[in-house]
Amino acid sequence: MNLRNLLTVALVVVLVAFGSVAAFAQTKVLRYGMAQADIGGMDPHNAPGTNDKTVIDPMFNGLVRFRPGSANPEYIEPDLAERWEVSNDGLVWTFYLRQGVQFHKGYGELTAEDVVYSLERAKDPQRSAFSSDYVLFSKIEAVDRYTVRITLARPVPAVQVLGVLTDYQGGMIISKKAAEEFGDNFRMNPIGTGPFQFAEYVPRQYVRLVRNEQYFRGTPEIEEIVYRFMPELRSRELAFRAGELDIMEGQREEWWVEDISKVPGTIVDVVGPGEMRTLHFNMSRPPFDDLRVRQAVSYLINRDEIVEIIGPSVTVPAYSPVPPGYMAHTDDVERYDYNPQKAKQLLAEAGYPNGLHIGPVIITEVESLLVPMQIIQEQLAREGVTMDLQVVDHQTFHDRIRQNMSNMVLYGAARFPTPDQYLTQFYHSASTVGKPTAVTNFSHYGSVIPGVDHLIDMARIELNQQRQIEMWQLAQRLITRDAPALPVYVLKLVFVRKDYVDLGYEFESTISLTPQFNERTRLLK
Amino acid sequence: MTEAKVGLSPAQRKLRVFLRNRAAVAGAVLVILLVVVAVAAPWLAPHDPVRQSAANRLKPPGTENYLLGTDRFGRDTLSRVVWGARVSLQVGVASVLLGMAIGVPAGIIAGYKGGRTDQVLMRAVDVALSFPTLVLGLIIVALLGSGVWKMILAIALVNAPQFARVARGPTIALRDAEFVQAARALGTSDLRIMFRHVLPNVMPDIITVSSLWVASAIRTEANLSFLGLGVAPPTPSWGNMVREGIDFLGRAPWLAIAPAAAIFLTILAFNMLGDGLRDIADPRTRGE
Repeated sequence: MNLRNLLTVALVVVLVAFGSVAAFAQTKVLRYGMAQADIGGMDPHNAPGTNDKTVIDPMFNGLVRFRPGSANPEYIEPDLAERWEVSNDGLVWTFYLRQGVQFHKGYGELTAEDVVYSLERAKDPQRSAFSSDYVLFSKIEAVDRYTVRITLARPVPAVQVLGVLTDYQGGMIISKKAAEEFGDNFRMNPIGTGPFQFAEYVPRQYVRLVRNEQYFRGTPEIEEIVYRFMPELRSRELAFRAGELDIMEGQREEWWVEDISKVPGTIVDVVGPGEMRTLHFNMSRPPFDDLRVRQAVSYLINRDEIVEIIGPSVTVPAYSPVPPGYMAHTDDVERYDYNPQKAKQLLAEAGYPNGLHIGPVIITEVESLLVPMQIIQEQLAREGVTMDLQVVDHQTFHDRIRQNMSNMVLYGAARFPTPDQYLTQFYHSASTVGKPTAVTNFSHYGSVIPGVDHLIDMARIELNQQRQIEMWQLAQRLITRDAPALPVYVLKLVFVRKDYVDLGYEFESTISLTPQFNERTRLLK
Repeated sequence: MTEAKVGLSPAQRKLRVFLRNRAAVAGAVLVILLVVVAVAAPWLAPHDPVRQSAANRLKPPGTENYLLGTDRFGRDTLSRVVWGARVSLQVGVASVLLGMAIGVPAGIIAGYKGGRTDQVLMRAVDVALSFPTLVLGLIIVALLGSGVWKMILAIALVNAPQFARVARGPTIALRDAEFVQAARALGTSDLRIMFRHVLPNVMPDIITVSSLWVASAIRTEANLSFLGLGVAPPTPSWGNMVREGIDFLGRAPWLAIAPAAAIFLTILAFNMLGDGLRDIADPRTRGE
């Protein structure tokens, strides 16, 4: 670097430092460091990525919501709907809206029309990524200006109706007027009712939100939120330490959590729901078409060691295909604990007495998956089980595992905390990769060997909660018996904030995988 | 300089020129050392470079028997640097040899034949050279996929046009040299002239630039690996070690510094060696 470049850089650093002080000194701005390089859009019904959800979260409400700081469906509370009624047959749900709720930027008062429009849109596969959540909604209608009636095709347990009406994904209510006015451009012109409204987006740099002065729960304390895209951990961390960020996404590894905890004035939140890492065995071809090979590889993976390397404070070992903490989760399943003797015996029986080559395994360069995959690779290699590990960028990883190119898929996911979404998306034959209805069934369970489709379908509509739980637990036991996949561990979320950032609630868990900022969030400085 | 004139064979004279350049000698010694390290890696490395050890994670340099400390998996940094020399040298040398094998004949043919052949080949070379090395490497790796041999091929394809250019210049000068005309008058075939008579005279220039390009190939390998397009884990290469170590700069700086220092030393060594070889090839420093 020559002298002139050096001077330019120094000048920019000085300007940025003073600029940020000057600009942010008077206004109450919350500066958030995101681990992503950019967002795809801000249309809540078309935002499957965590990065998009982060920015969308404070802009929208649902008819109901999770209690702030919690992702427990037991604590679903009123949001845009003040109250609701269910008919005796469980088919008709009537929601009474809060009156006087205003959309951002003068788009008028929220009415039943907007709710009907939003839910119809969320149900439409052409306009929504979450349409499968609403298949049972046979009719959505406005009774009057403040009353919405939803008729179901079949009665289902309450949590399954309220769950998809929360302030999450398809449940977010958007302005009909704005959606019709902007069409496809709604993704860059999001209009909701939430505590913060969209102000500015600079690609690959930041998104800025300003407070919604008319927010129905009261004007937010914070005036602005700036989400800065900082995919490099080091730069995020340096900016945080230098006081240029108030809150940031952390590295989900214990060594890092320990280090940052030592910085004075820092609060570290290690929270749920956490994404469970599951190793899916591709049963559509050898070697994993053989149950003994799947079991052997399962016995070779040493969870305790993985947890030790990544860190017990951010990881929880997992055994069941439904993550711990979800409704109906059970650990009363066949457990594949580390047992190399048994693994060797099984491999010999399967015709691999001298070791096994798994073939191509594709993994993302994102560390929260690459690091555990490297540990697994080495654990297997110790016992003569080898693979061709191909490290690719994250988007290519997502593409290739859906093209059935990887013989094992290590995948991390958090879903609505009942078993239905998890079991459906990962273990139902309809979700098998390659099918038109594909989601994330990488093992081909139910397609190449009999699975538990029937149980999943039955449990979804079972009204008797006890029976429903029993079905879900049976499904977990049958899946572990067939071993299409090995649940390995749950990785919790790590956020780091300055001690002057008061979120305004007890932070235990977050369904949108981001700390929620609302009217109570304050900067105590 | 004067006393060197008498009683010395050309080879001895060249050696003398080379030995007079201390930097070149140091470079040669370092390169030899590096080759020894790469070849003897299995015996020199104190640990298995891919063996993880949960109990020995992020140990600082000097701990017990970890001279350069360990990484997040508890792998020994020193052993990884030693084994990484293999990948780096393999990529550096093999890609330059392959690039030479493709580029030099192309350059000689272009220079010897002249005319349209020359035009076509050299325009193709111009196009290839108009891409920055790393960009061209990235494109090739993106098309071929990653892995040691694919990376060697990618870097060779980047080098080949440069070799073609270096080979073409002297060939044009030699095309009409007396010994070539004599060979032609005797009815020797063009192919034989090109490879029996022209090639040996072009080689000194080629060898000189080769050692410089080995250094740049090693750097390209490190860059591609740093960008995540290089050698697949768990094989250690200096580039992917720096990449993995960069997040730990605050906590465990040795993870990035050790392989970075190895890259630095290697590139320096090949450059110093290249300088010395150029002195030999250059008639002005040859003392003739």
